[in-house]
Amino acid sequence: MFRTILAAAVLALTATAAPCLAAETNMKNLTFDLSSVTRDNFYEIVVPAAKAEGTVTMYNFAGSFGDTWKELIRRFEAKYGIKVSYSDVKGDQANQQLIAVQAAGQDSPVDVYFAGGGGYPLLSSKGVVGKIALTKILPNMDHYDPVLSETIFGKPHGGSFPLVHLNQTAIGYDSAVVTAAEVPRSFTDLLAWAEKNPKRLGVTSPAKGGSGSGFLYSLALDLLTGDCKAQLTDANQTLDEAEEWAMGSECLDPVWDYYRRLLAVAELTNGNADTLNLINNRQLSIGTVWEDQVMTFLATKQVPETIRLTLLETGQIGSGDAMFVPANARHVAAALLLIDMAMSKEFQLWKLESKASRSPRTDVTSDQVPAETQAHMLPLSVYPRLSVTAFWDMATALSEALDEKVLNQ
Amino acid sequence: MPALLRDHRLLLPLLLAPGVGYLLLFFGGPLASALIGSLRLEDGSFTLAWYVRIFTRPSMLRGLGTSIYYGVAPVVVSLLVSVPLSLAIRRHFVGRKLFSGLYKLPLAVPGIIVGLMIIVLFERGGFIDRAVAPLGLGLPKLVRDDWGVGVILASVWKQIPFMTLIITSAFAAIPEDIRFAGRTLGASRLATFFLVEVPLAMPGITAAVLLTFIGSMGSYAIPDIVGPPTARPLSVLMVNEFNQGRFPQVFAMGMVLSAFAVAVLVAYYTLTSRIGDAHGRGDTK
Amino acid sequence: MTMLAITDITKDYGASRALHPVSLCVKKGEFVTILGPSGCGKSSLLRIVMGISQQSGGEIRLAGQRIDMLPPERRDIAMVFQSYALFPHMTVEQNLRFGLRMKNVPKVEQQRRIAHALDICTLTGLTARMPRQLSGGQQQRVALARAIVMQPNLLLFDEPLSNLDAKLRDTLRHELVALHRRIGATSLYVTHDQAEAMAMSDRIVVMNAGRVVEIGTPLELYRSPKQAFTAGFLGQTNLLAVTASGRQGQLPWGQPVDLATEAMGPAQVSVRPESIGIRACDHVSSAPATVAGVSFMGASALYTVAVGETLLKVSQAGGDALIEPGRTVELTFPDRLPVLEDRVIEDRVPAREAA
Repeated sequence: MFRTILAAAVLALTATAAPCLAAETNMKNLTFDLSSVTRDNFYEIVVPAAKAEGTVTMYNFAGSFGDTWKELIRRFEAKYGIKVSYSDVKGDQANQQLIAVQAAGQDSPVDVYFAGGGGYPLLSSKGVVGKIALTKILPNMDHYDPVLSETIFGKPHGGSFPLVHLNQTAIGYDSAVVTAAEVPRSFTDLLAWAEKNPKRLGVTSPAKGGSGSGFLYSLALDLLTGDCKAQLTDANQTLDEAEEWAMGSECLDPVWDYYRRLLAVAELTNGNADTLNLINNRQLSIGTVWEDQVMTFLATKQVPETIRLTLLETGQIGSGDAMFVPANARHVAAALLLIDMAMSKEFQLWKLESKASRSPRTDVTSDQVPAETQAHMLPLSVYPRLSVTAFWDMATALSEALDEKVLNQ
Repeated sequence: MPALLRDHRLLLPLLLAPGVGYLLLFFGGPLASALIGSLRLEDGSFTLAWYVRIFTRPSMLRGLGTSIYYGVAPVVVSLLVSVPLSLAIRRHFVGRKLFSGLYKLPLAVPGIIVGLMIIVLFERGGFIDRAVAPLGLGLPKLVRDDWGVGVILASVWKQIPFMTLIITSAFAAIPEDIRFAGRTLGASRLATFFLVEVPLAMPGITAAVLLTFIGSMGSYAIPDIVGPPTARPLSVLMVNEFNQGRFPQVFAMGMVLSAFAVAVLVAYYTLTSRIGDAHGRGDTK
Repeated sequence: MTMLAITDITKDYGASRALHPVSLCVKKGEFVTILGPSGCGKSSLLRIVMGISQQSGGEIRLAGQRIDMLPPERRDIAMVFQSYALFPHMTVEQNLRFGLRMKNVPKVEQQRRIAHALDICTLTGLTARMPRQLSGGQQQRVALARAIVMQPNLLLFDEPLSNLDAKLRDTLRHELVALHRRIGATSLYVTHDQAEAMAMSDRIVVMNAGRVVEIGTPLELYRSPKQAFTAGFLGQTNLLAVTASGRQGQLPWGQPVDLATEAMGPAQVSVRPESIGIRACDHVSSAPATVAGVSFMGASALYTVAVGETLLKVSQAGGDALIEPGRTVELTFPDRLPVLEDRVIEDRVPAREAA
């Protein structure tokens, strides 16, 4: 397991740098002693305080998650009798709103924010993320992935920005066309298959979909070695630094060569959904996809039942989205309770089964869902073994460089 | 009388304020702030870097070319359809009323819907492809094709009603007698059309061409959904940059695109003002 | 020699008939006017001759050739429009040259004809002007010149003077007549203005309700109309019932008159106001005639005279001393009163100003 191997190293690196220190809290509206809360006394202290608050506000940035949170809220309100006022928001706008509110020193208008995982560097640098070590005090985070507990996409968060939903880029194929023996296991296999079956492989344009930029970054991970790879994976780089490197470095030449060969025989598509649509139209037999999106499309019969997923042997990147308590939220106890329930094993399992939303809980795995659902998810043989951490800024930098060096030449 | 003079100095700006002020506030203001924004680094210092990027990066240069291509090509095709169409609408035929209502429908359909419609209907393996497959036919590649044929067709479909509407009224404004005069003076239907009607309808035709050109050059949804992922017009690249929060770059691209549109407008006005003297309906005093 | 022969032309719009079989002909060099009130079918007929409207039946021959199936551009007819219909995007010269270019007239010949037309239409010096830089009268002369340069077998005029003010209309009317004399073009002129028709035409075709009512020279139609409509439409008239017996007739109040043609029983005659003599007298005759009203017109005086139930219009030229209303007068009728062929006595005749 990539993650657990990395875990020790990351823990050692970040233990001292953890930003979550009770002494410098940025929660000024506490009605209870947050510093004394532990996993063991959590419900004793938090439940009465939450009921006293009586209400909690939640933002959701992901359009596809509306149903999921509706179910969570139904369960939450039934159990605790605390009213949840819920809003769908546009991620960028909500981020800007919270940054402005924080800069003005006002209370946060929201208590629980389901935000894109890639937003952490921005939100934390502007002081929007509440300094609460959620992963260490929420009872339902006792089986939490140890790497994600401390870091997000390589950056330490001290438990304040826990992912509650994981998603995975993958290779999707139509098992009615691609036989088990033909299923590519490596990037080399994939290119060979594409050259044998021209225009039957779909690669999402990296500029237009995460399944494409994820694929590009995964390819770079596969092809680069030594210093080049160290630079590629150095999560401390800013987007501008990453871009400068991607545009200038010779390290990436093998990546561009691979793409030149690939695009001669593959179809470059206009987005994640475009790739799936072409698979549904039987114009493509293999394509770069998101695991959870395949499940969503299956539910409305927009991809064939025969679609199957796999990961290439050198690993493909996984991502996720987080739930956190913004600084100076007004209903902190209720917020903690809501995030705790979102991480409960029952809810995480329900979420996995209903939309292939992977869990950061180590005790929630795909073998616990019905076999017919499992068939449309990544098999246990590849997930989570071949899932590697995303570094989205680098993925973005690579797609821009690809645009200049390959697509527009 | 210095007091009076001062009054006059005050009066003039006051009188001009509603018109000029409106322009400054709602047109000049945003434009100026975009211009300033496009010339700044994050720390506020002056830079031309964002413009340098546009004119050195292959993707941007191609984007500018693609924008112009997506502006010009649909207009040419639309014109070839709209002119005969407006002539047809002028004549009486069975179902004319129904038809002249129906042909305007695309006006009400947003670009993004048109894009999605093309994907659903004209994608290979899509609705029409499957419908004609039993006949042994197949659709050519219309979506994501290198020449942007799908984009052009979608824009054409969307532009034709607008263009036809303007051109129809341009032709309708020509008195019937002038057409008949052409005919009795020995000009065939076709000669009358090209020598008399087209020159007289020209102001309307060029206005329609210009407006649809600027519209389709700046359109986003259709090229984004239907166009090839490689050659993306500036509009699509702008949204891409916007999503990454590079606002100065977005402003700079917007300025370049606007500058081009303004250049076309200016060219149009200089051309038409020269022809303008020759125009005007002088049938009565 | 007949240049234009229109034979039994009809035009139906759906179930309604705009033109009943209409026939007329125009001789070479002749100036014929179609005169009628608006809606009488004259415009429909003109459009059919021009070729922009298709007849429902009948045929048209021009210089012996059947032309009614030809498109307008192959008919050898030139048209002068009421709206002038000049090409607004062309100069005067370009307007004149347009038709010649279309007919592939050689350059030298084009030049000669244009110069000639500019000369006779007094347009020299205006060649470079755009139509909108011209006055209404100038525009109409350009329209005329544009038709003349074609040297067509037939010139059509569609109320060409009606957009001009009265004075200019008068001037141009005379110019047109003079022009026609000079170039002798066969012309068919459409108007609703009877004064225009009488002043210009060799012959007038009177139309009403989609039919030709009567054809004749202006003098014939004025002096001895055969139809009440003609009598009423051309100038003012008194339509009087007579009881005829051969060439003798008796007016309702018993006064005997001399008829131009033989008739028996009830008939109708048209008597122009100016042909009735009026004289004041004191003795009361068998039919007492009294002046009911008088309008002084300058060159003449127009009296309304009551004879029993009948009101008569009587015009007296000169009129140095007006007869006052209420005076008894004696009326004298001319010899050879024209007997109208239609017996229907119309209460109202379209009122027209006297020429």
